[in-house]
Amino acid sequence: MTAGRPLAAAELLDLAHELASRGGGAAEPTAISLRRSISSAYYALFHELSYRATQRLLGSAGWGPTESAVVRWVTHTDLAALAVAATGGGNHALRVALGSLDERVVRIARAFRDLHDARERADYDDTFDVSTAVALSFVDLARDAVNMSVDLSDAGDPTYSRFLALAMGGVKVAKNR
Amino acid sequence: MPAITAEQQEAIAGAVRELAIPDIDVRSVYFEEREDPGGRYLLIEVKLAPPKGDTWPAEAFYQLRWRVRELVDRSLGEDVAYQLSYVSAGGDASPNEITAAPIRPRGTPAGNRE
Repeated sequence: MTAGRPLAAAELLDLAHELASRGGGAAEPTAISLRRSISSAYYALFHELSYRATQRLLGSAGWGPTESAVVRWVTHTDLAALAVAATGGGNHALRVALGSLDERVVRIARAFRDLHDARERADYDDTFDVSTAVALSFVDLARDAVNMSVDLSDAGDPTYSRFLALAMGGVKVAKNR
Repeated sequence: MPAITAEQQEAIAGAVRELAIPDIDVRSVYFEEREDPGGRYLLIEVKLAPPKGDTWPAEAFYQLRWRVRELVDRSLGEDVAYQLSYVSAGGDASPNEITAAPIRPRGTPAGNRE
């Protein structure tokens, strides 16, 4: 098996924008394109957080088979629970472990919660009245959150590092406390 | 999940409609109790007036979403699972998409959502 590369948030964001845009043509995007746009925007942030959490855990600069395997340890439900705690709710032990967070970490967590809800409807709910405005707004939200993640990672922000550390199993441990 | 009363719904809807966020006008708030393989939850759908441009101003939309979530958290407490959703009044899905014949009946197999 060949070594892969991380699923790039930037590529997913570009795809999400393309799906929700007219692409230079006259035709409006279809409902299914708008749904896939919202889903791709969510996955852009999900993969960005998973990538950063994996890098932090393994301390590696590159990407190989070990990173490809470990990145799968991050789950949607764990990140959702962590995002709730980072925004002041949910599990008490998690909130204690997170402590005081940089405001940008809180904004990433808020974005994750909003994108998670939006993606649930986009992927599974056939009553969702999807629109270009909503899809593009969530693409903008995801891009903003991914950019903040890059900035915080580059700056070595300790509160973001704590958030990422807890994404790797911290939620499951906290549930038993 | 405890049921939400009509009075609670009206109180939340009224408070959301009264949020004064520049450039964003809340038209209505819709509630629906639902159940999926993960359990029961409350869908809260906020319908917004269409934006003047392609999207609502990013910071205003952020402020709205977060103030709505804080308001719902305070009103419902932690025992109520909910999903917040935003739609634009006058959704613009393609008519072709809406009238397309389904390939097969809908339905998500239980346990197949991640």
